[in-house]
Amino acid sequence: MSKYTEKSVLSGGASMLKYLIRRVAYMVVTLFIIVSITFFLMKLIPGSPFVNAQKLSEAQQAVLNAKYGLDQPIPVQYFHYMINTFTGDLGVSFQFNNTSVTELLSYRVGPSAVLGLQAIILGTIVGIFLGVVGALRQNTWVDYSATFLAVIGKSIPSFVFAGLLQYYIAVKLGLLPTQFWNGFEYTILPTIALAMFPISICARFMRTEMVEVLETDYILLAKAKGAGYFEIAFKHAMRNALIPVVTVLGPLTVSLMTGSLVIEKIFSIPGIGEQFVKAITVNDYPVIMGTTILFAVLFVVVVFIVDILYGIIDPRIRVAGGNK
Amino acid sequence: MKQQEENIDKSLFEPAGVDTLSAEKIEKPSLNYWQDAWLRIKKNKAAVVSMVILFLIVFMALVGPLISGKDFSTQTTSEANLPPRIQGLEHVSFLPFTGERTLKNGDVVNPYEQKGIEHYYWFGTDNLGRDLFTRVWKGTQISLLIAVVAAVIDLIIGVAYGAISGYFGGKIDNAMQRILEVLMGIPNLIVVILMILVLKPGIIPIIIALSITGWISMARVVRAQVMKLKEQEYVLAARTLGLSNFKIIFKHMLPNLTGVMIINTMFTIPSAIFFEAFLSFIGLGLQEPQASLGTLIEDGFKSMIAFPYQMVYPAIIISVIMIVFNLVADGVRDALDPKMKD
Repeated sequence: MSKYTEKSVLSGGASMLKYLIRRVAYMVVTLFIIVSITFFLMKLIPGSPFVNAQKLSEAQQAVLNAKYGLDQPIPVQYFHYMINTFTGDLGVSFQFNNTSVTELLSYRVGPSAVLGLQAIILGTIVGIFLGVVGALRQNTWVDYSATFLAVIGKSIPSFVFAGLLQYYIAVKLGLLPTQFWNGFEYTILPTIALAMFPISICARFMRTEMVEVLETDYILLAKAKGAGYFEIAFKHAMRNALIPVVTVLGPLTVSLMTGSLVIEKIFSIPGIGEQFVKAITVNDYPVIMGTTILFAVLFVVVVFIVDILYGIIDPRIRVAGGNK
Repeated sequence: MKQQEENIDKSLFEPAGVDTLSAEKIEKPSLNYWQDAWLRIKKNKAAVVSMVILFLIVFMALVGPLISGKDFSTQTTSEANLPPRIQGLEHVSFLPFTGERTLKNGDVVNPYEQKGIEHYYWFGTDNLGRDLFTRVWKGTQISLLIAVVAAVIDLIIGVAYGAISGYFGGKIDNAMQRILEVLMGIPNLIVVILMILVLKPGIIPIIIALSITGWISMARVVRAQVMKLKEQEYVLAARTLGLSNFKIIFKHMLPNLTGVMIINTMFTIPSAIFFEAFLSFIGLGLQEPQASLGTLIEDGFKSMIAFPYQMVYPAIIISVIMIVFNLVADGVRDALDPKMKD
């Protein structure tokens, strides 16, 4: 027995390492391409990046261009930008009091992270619960309402849902604060709005997996052994059904990023998403580029971690071939 | 018991006729793939109801702007911010179509009577006095148009890419897959936003931005399906007969790909609707006076506290569209996916 496990661990380790190296290489290439695309697209955008550009004289514009290095040829700018980016220097904001982008964003990571984490925790717990209940009570009204909730959560755009929540719960009923970021009660509505998508995705995925697991032979065996209902459901079935749910973490991060833009705007939360939307409306290139890169890094890293986790949790999946 | 059995006279029995022809008779008419799928989707009540609602919404999107008798871009500032009022329903106090609105201090006023306005705005008017009913359906029309065109472009690029990659295999497939893997690593939210920033908001830029990343999932499913199909005998037969690769892919394999193509497109359309609305909401949507559901929600959101109806109607329409599209898509997937066959 021990011989077998040792052998499989060894061979698994070797292929795992190869896989890791390949994935890291992909990550670097992807990030490089994202940074390049961002840079060149930003150069193509019409409009001046400076406040009140029309009021500036030619000489003033030239001075400003020289100050921010915008007078140099594009390849040179590109080279500098690449070097700066990979050393963590994202440039200086044109519009927001000349703060460095890294600093500007660092203030805003907190609220976004709190919101994102709360949403993902709420989303996965409620979602998994709905999925499990739906699978255990298959084709009853419990199952149908759980499925219906999941469809609604997946369908209604987060900003519509957030707007309605804000209007009916905060404005009309006055139960919770409408906007801003001043403590836990301010996080409740945005968290719920942001968690809707994770809830529905987890619920649907969990239900499908659970239904499949409940039909396997080992569940039959557990029943034959006389294991109790809850023991079977939660100890035997749920644990195996949970494994593939890890894969939805990738899409969930994307949804959280997308959602954070609109939800932070709606609830006036001083997070990264709100900064991004503001930067877009005022053409602040360095902030747009910096935020884009931050989002991209986050996304790429999460996808990477999810893939690795998946390979570790479920030994049946050969990481080398199991690339989704 | 035994006694009784013995009592039955043998003459009561007669040999059953062995008819070799009727033994092979098929009781039910044989159904092809699509008839079979149709039968299955008809059993799915949610999908059927959703299809009807979807049909109604598409119908209203085309006809709605015409029947209101008002133009979507005409501004009548003297009639701005009027609440909804519908003929016949204006005296039904529990419906929100009375033309009355509650002020902050709780007083109920009727701006129509105050201003002496005779005509009816079914969904009310916005802050520039434009008829919301017309704008909502016009917006639905544009949102659907953007989504459908984007989905068709995704379909064309995705099928071509996936089919070539899957059919030729080997080095071509390897190279194409590496490109795809890198592209998949780029969050499409970012690409879409950057593209709109560069191209300036408008219907065509939004379609381009949505199609740039949208085809990837289609390419992946088509590739997987093509790899499966190319091992089939009919492809071998076609190849033996000397057919060109192009003809094999597009004449022989394509019909067998329609299932996955339809399923995928049904899921692309709602996601395109969502993205268009999302872009509008963060200020990258269509420009005035054009309207889409996203820009209407964005406008309505700004004046939500005073005039909630300006946000509620477009919000309801987009939510309903998204829900029914997802339900129809689920239904179509279950009906077309042979694995789900019952």
